[in-house]
Amino acid sequence: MKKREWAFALAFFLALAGPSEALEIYRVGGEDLARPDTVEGINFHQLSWSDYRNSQGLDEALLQEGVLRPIFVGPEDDVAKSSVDRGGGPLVRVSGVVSYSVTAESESMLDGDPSTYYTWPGGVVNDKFSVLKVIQTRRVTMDLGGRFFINRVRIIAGVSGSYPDGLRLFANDVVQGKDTVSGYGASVSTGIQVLDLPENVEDTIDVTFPAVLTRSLDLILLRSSPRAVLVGEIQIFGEGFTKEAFYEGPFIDLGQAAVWGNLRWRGREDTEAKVRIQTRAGRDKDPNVYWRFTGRGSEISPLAVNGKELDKLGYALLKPGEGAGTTYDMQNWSFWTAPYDFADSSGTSIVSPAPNSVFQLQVDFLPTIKGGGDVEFIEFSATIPPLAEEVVGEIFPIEVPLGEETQFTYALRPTIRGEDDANGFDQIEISAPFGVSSIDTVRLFGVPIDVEARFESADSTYFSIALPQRLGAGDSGGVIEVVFTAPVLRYGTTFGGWIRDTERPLELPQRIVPGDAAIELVSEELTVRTTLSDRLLADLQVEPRKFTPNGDGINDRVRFAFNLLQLTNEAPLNVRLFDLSGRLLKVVHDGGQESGKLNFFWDGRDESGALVAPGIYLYRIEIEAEEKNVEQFGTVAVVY
Amino acid sequence: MKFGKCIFLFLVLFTVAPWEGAAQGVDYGSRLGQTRGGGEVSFEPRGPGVLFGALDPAVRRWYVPQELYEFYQWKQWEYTNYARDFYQRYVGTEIEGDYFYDLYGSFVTKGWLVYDWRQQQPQQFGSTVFKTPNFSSFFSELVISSDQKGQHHLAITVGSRIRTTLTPMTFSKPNFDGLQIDYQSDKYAATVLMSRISSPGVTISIPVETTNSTNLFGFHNTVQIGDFVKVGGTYINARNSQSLLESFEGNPFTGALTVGQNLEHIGQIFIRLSDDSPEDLEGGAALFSWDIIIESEVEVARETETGETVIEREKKIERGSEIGFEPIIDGGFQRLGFLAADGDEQIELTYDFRGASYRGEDPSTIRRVQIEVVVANDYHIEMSSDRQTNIPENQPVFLTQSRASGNVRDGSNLQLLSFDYGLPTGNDLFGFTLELEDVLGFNVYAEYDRSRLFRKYPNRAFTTHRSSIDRADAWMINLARKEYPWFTFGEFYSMDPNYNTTSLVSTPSGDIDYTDPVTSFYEWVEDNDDQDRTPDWQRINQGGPDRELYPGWDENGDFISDFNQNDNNFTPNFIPDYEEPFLRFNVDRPEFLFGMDMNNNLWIDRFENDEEPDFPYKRNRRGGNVYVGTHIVPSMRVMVGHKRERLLSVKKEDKSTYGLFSWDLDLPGIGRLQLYDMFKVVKDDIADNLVQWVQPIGAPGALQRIADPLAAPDTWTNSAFVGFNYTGTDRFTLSNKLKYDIWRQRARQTDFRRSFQFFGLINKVEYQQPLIEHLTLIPRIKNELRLEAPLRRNEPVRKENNLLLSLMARTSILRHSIVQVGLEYNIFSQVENPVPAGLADDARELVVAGQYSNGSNYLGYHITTQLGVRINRLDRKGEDAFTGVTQFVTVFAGFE
Repeated sequence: MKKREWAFALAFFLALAGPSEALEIYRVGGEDLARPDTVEGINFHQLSWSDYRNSQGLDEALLQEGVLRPIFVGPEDDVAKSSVDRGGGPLVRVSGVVSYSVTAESESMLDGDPSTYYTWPGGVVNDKFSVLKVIQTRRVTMDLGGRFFINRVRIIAGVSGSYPDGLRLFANDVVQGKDTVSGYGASVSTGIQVLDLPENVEDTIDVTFPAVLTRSLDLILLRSSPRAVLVGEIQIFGEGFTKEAFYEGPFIDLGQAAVWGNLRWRGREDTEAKVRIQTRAGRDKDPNVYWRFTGRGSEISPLAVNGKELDKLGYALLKPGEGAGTTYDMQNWSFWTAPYDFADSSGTSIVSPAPNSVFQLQVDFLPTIKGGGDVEFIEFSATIPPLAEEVVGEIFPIEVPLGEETQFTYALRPTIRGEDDANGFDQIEISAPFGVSSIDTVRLFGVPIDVEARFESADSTYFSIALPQRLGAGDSGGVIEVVFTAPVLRYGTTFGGWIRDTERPLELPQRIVPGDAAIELVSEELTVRTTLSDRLLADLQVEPRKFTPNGDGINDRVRFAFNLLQLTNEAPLNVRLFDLSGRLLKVVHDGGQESGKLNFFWDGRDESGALVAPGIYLYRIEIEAEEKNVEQFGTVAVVY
Repeated sequence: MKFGKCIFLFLVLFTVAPWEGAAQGVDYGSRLGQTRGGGEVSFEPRGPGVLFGALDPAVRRWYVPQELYEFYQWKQWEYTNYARDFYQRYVGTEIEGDYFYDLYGSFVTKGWLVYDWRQQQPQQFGSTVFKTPNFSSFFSELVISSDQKGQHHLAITVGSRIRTTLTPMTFSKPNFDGLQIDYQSDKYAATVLMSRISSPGVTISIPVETTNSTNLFGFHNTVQIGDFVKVGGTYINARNSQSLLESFEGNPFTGALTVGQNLEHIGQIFIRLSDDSPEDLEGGAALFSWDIIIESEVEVARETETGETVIEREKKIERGSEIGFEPIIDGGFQRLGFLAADGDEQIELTYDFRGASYRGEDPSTIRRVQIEVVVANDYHIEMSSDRQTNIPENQPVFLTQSRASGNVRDGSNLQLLSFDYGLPTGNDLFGFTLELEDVLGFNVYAEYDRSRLFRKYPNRAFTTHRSSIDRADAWMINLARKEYPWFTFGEFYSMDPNYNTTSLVSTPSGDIDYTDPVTSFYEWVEDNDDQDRTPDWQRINQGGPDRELYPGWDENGDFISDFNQNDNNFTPNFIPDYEEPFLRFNVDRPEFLFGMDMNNNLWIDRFENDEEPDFPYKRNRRGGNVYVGTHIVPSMRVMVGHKRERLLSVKKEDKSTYGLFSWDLDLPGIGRLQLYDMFKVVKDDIADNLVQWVQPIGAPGALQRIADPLAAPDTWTNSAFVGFNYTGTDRFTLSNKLKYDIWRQRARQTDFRRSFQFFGLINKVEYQQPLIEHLTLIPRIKNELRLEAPLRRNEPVRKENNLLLSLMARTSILRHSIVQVGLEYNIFSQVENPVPAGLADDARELVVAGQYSNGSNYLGYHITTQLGVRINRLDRKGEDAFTGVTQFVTVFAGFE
């Protein structure tokens, strides 16, 4: 990263977090970029891509250089040779066993030395009444260890004259043997045939064919004489990116609970390809719970015999049959987040829950043959310690009528430790996705207080409440309640909340997590459910019905206000005006909209900008949702 | 009551009432049986009586003579001397067999048991099917009892391989193993099917007895109403049965949990949500909330008014959300207010009744579990439990519970879904058919069917269990009208994705492998695309798999692919006929065939083989197709039509508008002219994948998966065919074939050429010239031109020409001998230079063959003896020439 870029990035963090002594910045990859060690108050940690828990389909060389990118196969790249490193290899029939597996002999076909070879022993070939003699077949399945677009195969005989008499190639999208259809013969495979070379008299077979996506390639060697066939080398070439690639980073242990800040990255997402970045957070370095059978019937326990929690090593040391599987440790770990929008590379808020002490990144590439993508670095920030050890919140009621204004009680209860009042907060921030009509009451420890509430966004979807005093360790466990009135326009609406310490204005805000904040509330949730309804459009208001677009500032335009309900994603919405003959006059809106309170205005002008004549006009509001279309019609009058 | 209705009643009673044996008296004279008054011989069971001859107060134990005395006049105490009266061996046709009685004790017959199927409950091993060896050796596993009076016909067929079809969407099998009862009169027709499908029995000398079984019952009838209308009804049921239970416990149609299913109570229930259209990577299942409702039956102690304590059973309903019983949730992307499973992501909810979080009633008292989820978008919901597993690995097997309609991604289909959990115990299907003949000129066939799958929540503490039902519908309507010169046809259809005609059958021990079709699936409608006697797939007790599968390619019905006619088990031939010397003159490549490709997968529909049951329409689809046409002249017709079809579970659609011109003209004294052209405008993103027969050169033919390339995303296509066969003279034949296909993409496609084109032209001429007596000279020329720009950009353009020159001479010698010599010169040329990668280079091939053939009769056979030699020399450009020789002496024995 250039100095200028780093300065920009730092400015971004500082704008959000400020020069706190506790601001930790972690960067994965991008080792050659400038480090922010000259900036006071920031602890910088450089991590390497090569330190991963799991990966597949990534270009190892580039990874060592500090770039995450799916394997790109060039014309001279032998994907067979590298297949063993990816868990693949040449599968051959093992004598006496009805299965195919990679053997030391079969691996000799990939060692670059034709003098070490795989032997197809000679045998008797019965003559048949046929123009050609009967063909014997032997299958070698090359598991490429990943899915590649391949277009060329080269087979080199181990000894001169020991070549196969012919070759057929079948491409499978799975490893052969896992997807079978009854009735398939041994001479073909379940894959798509990409080549049929009925005759060969050369020691080297070098064939090309149109590129085909392949996980495993069945090479059906043909033989029409009883001599042995010795395969010295198999080389497979292709083009483009591997079909799948992912990176699962290490557990980044911050040592103590931290609040997550922002995530930013630099990379490239090619056309038609996708790069998905996800995060998760936890409290220990293993997101699994390990179970064992206790021996009392089918009882299982996460504890070892010594009463301690079973860990990965302890689980591995269990006697055969004693292990009872693993489950995800939901007590201590969050799930992977939804993929962050790759376009938000300059910085986006981390949605994994906090405070937590361990952080993990995952990058998933979904390339096409021509398009891949890469990630040079990913950076995230965190502050230590958090404002509170824990701050839980809940909202009530959690089941409300769809679209109606409802008064909610939002309770939060912080747990703050420490004696020096280093930790604490004095501001609460709440997001209401569909806006807030009023903030009615704020109670501190059960007592109503006068507070200053401020809307942080123009559409009243985000407001903050400044508390009259800073709450510290002495106030730990006290309940703060915010009573406000808001509509809920979608089932499953989450009211997010944060606490902030304005005395330390550059400290990261800490997210409120759902939990049991107040005894009298029973929800333990921050998500509100609505009545289930198939309505998508509600509370349409057209005001004024008669308007005078004469520019006098009074009733110059008509407002179409309505609520769009239940949509989790954008749906096409258009608002159009017609004259009484059905002629389209004006498209007020034509675009995608999510659920929300919407307002559109018509100023009495047509598409050319001219004022329409006085009269009655038709409006049509149409939502083209994927399940159903909704239309509403009506009239407005233009008068002068 | 009319007689026909009486017959219906009889059929119904027949299936549920004891069978009335027809006790026929057999005349054994006075040697066997008991003679009644009037000389009638009776074998009726009467019990032993008081025998006057045995009223002898003596100590000696000379047994009262019975069969040996009655039949042979042998007495136990008498001296035997065979000098004059020769000894007679025991075995005689008169005394073979056994005496059989019906359940009333009426004598049925003296003979042999052939087939016996009975169910006795409650009893261990109470289900018995006994196919005695006589069933096979006497009757080759097919026994037909029949009766007829006037217009009324009745047949009872017991067989192991009965060709049975009720309706195309309900039951159609080439080898039904069971019992079929058919009745037919002028107005009525009815069929009853019965089979123990889990183990229909094999012909061995001991009965096949089981405790757990799966039985099938089917019924179909039609009634002619007036002259034009025929209505029908169908009901088929297959249910698990456990002979330890009493017969009339619970609903007999929903089946019973087998011993294996009911062995333990449920420990864990799994619900899995995934993306029903994972390929688009977005808008998968959105899970907003969930809950579990547990209904248990607990014993409660109550004190009566008299002060006594009585134990009563009480139903108790608990919600998981109220008792703190939350699932373990694994997977999913957390979005604002819901969990999402997009692409390959899956959300799995696990309700663990063994875990510490479960605080409800004891799992052994649970009678019913209901799951509620609020979901939206393109969801696919499956359920499983620790009792719903596969047999080898004991891993949970998920069965589909619900799928979203279409591919909704904006949440507009938000809904609460509620479903009971249970293990499958049976399934049934009921439906109706309507046939109209010449009503307003239309012929109509309509069918509606509803399939139901029954599940029951297992609990070994109870003998009856609560059942839940999953339903799915299918319907079809076909209409056709001909009013010369006009004609029209319409078809409309719908089949839900979970429409089911597959039964899960139990093993004798009561275990069911929910994943393995080979051991656990019984199909009511088979996959038998080639319509032979063997189903294409392998299922339990139903034959299959079909190792040779080439629908439409066996027009001469000899069970051999017409593209490799000279292949057989003894002398395998691994060369397609269109590649094989001398045969290739007559046989053209399949690419030159013309036919309908209504699903736009580049395969002619009548040659397609898939892995689905042979429903008239595919599952998960709804659509219609209508065309109208007219005969311009009797041999020429033109028609236009429109097809619209969509998948029900995902948003994919096939819209085609087409026109078809056909002219099939027979010209007496000249030949036959065929002219076809089909034009289509298509938008199709529904994949119709196939498994097709492939005949590689030099290896046995086999099946191979063929993926639908989805070649018509927004495309117009035209397929033209012109064929002419000259048959004006006996000696001279001329055959021409031209095919031109073009698929033009209306919008640019990444992988496809703008125009996929195939142009093929075949010209063939053959002349037979007798030179001298018995000597005929046959010169032949065939030219095949093939120009092809393949669909995919990365496949090379093909421009090839193949000229085949052939000369054959045939002469008869002596009386039954023929000598033939043949010369064939094949010139294969690539037009493109250099030859594109992947294509064969220019080649010259010379084949010379001579054959002497003698046919004569020997020991009742017609012997054909052939001696010959064939030499072929192949000279491919850039390679060394290759010469192959085949010499043979072969004797065939056939019949005249």
